[in-house]
Amino acid sequence: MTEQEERTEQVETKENAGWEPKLIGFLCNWCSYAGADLAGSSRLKYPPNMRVVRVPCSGRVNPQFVMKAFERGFDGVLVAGCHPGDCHYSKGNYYTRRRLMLFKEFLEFMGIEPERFKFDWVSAAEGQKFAEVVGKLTESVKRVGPFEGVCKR
Amino acid sequence: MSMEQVLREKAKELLSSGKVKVVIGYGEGSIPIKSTPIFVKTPEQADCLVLNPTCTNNLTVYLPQAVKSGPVAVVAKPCEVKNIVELVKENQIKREDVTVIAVSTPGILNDAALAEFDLLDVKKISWKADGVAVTTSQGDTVIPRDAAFQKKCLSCTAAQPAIADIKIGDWAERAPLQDKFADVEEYEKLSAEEKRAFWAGQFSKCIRCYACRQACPGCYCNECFVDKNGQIWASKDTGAESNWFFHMTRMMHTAGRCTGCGECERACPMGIPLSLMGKKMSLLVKELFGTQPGESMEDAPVFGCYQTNDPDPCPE
Repeated sequence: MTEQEERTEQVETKENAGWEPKLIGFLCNWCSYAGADLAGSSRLKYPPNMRVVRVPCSGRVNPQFVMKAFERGFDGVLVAGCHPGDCHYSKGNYYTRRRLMLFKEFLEFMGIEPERFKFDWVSAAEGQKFAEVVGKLTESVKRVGPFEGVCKR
Repeated sequence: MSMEQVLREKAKELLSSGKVKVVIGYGEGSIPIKSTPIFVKTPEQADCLVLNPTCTNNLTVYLPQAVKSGPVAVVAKPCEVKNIVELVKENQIKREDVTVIAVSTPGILNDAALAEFDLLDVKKISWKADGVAVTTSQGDTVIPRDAAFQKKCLSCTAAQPAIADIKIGDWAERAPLQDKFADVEEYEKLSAEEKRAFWAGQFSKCIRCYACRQACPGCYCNECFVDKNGQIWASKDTGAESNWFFHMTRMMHTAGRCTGCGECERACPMGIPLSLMGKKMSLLVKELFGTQPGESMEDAPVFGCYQTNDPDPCPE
């Protein structure tokens, strides 16, 4: 059994078998959105769980976007942008890296499992990587199960 | 001369020389268990200034408005000097417009320490060598330091301030009586689920009075995101989830500015442990970017700069 199959097995033995997570992805216009496009036009297979929101730059991603997504009940959030040094606006992703690295840790402090939030770099040429990132996020969110809300009652 | 007398003398000098237009300090409150912020505008009024264990408000919160009508002197404790540093670095005030009167006190009274007293009978509250003396009609009672002082004061080292024009009090570095981050460590033992349950309990208490925001020197926006009527990002209702959204955003906005003065928590009428989040934020900023709010005039604001070798989500 491959590692992948083993994980799928684990997921499906859980009581929430059959449940599909709802994910949202904020993709930068210049790299990650084009990367997602490439994944599609290359006919790469990846889980269909993510809704994509195109943003002009990963620097546009306000941590409030992520908070709102969790508040409204998304099970996982992806933010992807150009690799550091490759930003179309030269430094947008450097600012967002600072903000989101801190935010990621803070979310964990507030009790939101780190498996639910993924922050990564995907270039326009990395269709394969995009498929992998979405695949891994879907899998890790499936492992932690449905999100019960930012405040558990 | 007592610290209070020194402060009055210095305030008189500053006002009569015309160096400042106003001295922001503490005055006697309506009852002796509280002191109140006062704006001293003439040398004669300087005798109204007091310094005692009830001087708790963070006066730096008034600075961005106060400097608009001329140079200002402000009384600031060690944690509050850091707020001035951040305000200067973020261009909210000019360094030359503010005269920092840095006051290192033995500690500030924690309101809960007075629970056993008849508050209307308290005549005077003063510092003693081993704590705080509360004078009532029955005489003096000394509350030991551990019980008398606020948490932030028990963990204070009275480290040298990054900026100070006048220093009053004992600025010798002292050993903290408590670990500042003990409660953060305790909280972090909880599981993710327990953490969310904890905050659900806390945030369902929040009545959105925004006292935390008003008391915070880091919250200096002219229009808060939560007061905007155009794009309504944060709902105004008081459900735990909307409150979570408000407090999370406030924490992200004050990240790298929050110096741990604890005013948000003290101002909160519902007893929400807001400084727990602030403390974690300062730990994270230190861990990820190597800076600490208000410690130096050289560091750039945390989100106003970047390094090409910052921590990366997927290091290559």
